Amino acid sequence: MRVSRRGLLRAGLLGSAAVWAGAVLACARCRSAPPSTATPRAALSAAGEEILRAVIPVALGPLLAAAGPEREQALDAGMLALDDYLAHLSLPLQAEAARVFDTLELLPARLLLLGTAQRWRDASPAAIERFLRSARDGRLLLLRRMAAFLQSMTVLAWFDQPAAWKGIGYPGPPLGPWAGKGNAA
Amino acid sequence: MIEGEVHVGCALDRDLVLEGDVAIIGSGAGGAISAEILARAGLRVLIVEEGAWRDTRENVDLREAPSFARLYHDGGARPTEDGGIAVVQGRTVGGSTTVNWTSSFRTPEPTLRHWREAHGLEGLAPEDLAPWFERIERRLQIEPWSTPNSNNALLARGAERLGWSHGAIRRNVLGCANLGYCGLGCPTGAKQSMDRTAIPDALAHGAALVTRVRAERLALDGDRVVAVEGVALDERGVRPTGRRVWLRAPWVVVAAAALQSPALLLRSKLPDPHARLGKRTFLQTHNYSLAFLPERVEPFSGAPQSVYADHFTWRDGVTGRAGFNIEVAGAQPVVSMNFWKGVGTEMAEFARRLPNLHTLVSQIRDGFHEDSPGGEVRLREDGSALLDYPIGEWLWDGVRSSYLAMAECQFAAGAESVHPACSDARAYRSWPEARAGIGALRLRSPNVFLNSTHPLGGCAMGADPRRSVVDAFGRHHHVANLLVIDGSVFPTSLGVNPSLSIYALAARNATALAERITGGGGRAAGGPP
Repeated sequence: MRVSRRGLLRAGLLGSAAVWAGAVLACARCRSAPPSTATPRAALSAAGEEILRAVIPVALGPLLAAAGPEREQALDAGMLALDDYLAHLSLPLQAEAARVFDTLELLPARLLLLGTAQRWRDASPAAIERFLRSARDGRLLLLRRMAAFLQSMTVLAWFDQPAAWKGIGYPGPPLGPWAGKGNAA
Repeated sequence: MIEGEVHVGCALDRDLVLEGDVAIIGSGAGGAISAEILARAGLRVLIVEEGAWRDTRENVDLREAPSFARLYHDGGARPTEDGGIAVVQGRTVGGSTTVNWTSSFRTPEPTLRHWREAHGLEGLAPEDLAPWFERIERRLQIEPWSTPNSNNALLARGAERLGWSHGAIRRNVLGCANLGYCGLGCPTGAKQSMDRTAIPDALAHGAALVTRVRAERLALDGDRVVAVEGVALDERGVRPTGRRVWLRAPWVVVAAAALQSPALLLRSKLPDPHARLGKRTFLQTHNYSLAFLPERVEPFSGAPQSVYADHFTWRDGVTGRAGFNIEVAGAQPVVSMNFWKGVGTEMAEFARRLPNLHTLVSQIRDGFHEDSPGGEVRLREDGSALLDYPIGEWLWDGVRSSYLAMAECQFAAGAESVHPACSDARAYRSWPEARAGIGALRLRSPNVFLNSTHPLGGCAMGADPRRSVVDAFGRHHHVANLLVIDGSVFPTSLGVNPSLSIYALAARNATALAERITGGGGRAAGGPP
């Protein structure tokens, strides 16, 4: 498939991923059933949550705890933070984000990008890491934008958490009160 | 809570109609200074603001993501149409002044000269504007900052060793505790932002403030605006609640900033016979260079910007190759980890050295060169602003040359490695290696991290109605009682951080409007109505 650069540029925030995916397949029935989430979200879709829970540990590598309760706790907190962030975006941007997740969840996208028919949550970390690198480093603007989007989501989900700070030498914000420390007051 | 007449849009249980002398759309640098001056002239001022009122001293957690979500448009990362540049604008009472880093510069003389020569703007020479700058500098406690943090001291050191022109940045703070969290709203209230200065003062002089209401349309009757029509938004400022707000006043000041102001005028279908609205929107695009120092830098701590280097701003002439200034970027974890998109182990290795990270930013002034026409604001289907800002060869040249300059500066300051904020770049261990590497670096979106905290233009001022939207006093060329007083009126970008330029021009133009309405004496002073 050839996609013109201008066509991709014209296609909106994240390249109107749904249009692109439709061109590849136009087969909504191939979509897997949406996973069930325990907590209703304001803006983060079920597809988005499943994808991010798979992507974030790979993107962060050794920064995140190994699989286990600590990692799950961090991912739970990250999803809450992302949902809050996304819910404050304007509606067109919320819709674009949801479209990207919907597209990535499609079977042909998984076949193409991960090389597997497995769901994101079952895909191997190695396959996800290959995807993140090749999308980021590749020729297709649309894929580079998807990789950048997923990594921005990762940064928002993790680096704002106190659990992340020790590992990167950030002491956290100063604690108040700040009175009396001024330059001229 | 802020004192005075405040109507909170998300809490309205019925439609609201307010009447006054002047309706102002936006409470940022342009709107707030205008509101203060007009209210002090005895006029009944009505201010409508899309964001919410927040006391930033209550943001004790100082977490980045929720602050960006609440205080900025689109979480501080509104993408241009092709996703190449993230536009960063405040959306809260005080607008971007509430969340900026306080860097205050007068409009550079070459910029003002270019406006006169290329855009026919008279009366804006440095000596014409000096009294207005002085007035704002007094009003907002603008003074040089003499105790830079390590991040800024390293810029000064590099510039010194290379013999570059540089200096101390002036900041609008009073009693600054030097914490470094300006971008999340000042946690101590030291920043002299509009939410703590001009807006409370306007309210004390009888102004009304309507928050969480988006101005949707200006209703026109002939060549006059007869009402500002707004929609109340929910608590997040995202969905309309169904309540509507009308501001009725004989004078209307649009001060919603670049992107929003032209979008409002476009939505209102205002006369635009020469199709100028939204055109020539500038970004003064920011690109970043990261370095690791052998010593601790702690880029997350201390006043984020206090040193500038202007060696390259005008080097190739006002209308020559892309010029840029160099400053420092304060870097708390979310901001600093977004610059470069490592994966897995490489991300971890990068992140773990945060305390030694040095972060430079260059701001590439646009709008002066013929190949730099800026972007165009258009309307999405829902009426919101969408900026089409194609990145052409002119800008990529500026990105490459500023990457080179920043890398040279960082090595001169003692960096062990320098890393352009580009996911296609690797770390360079020496200046010769960086010079070769950056020279050959592929520059492409979105791998080159670009954003802009300085969107300007789109309602350009000028003498010629065929080439501009308003005149040098902000008066709309075709609508008799409408002014635009904000950063959208600049006919080019500035070459410096814009807040002081907006404040000063607003003071000048709002004073002229007050004199026009009151006949010079002001109602409170007993002048004619």
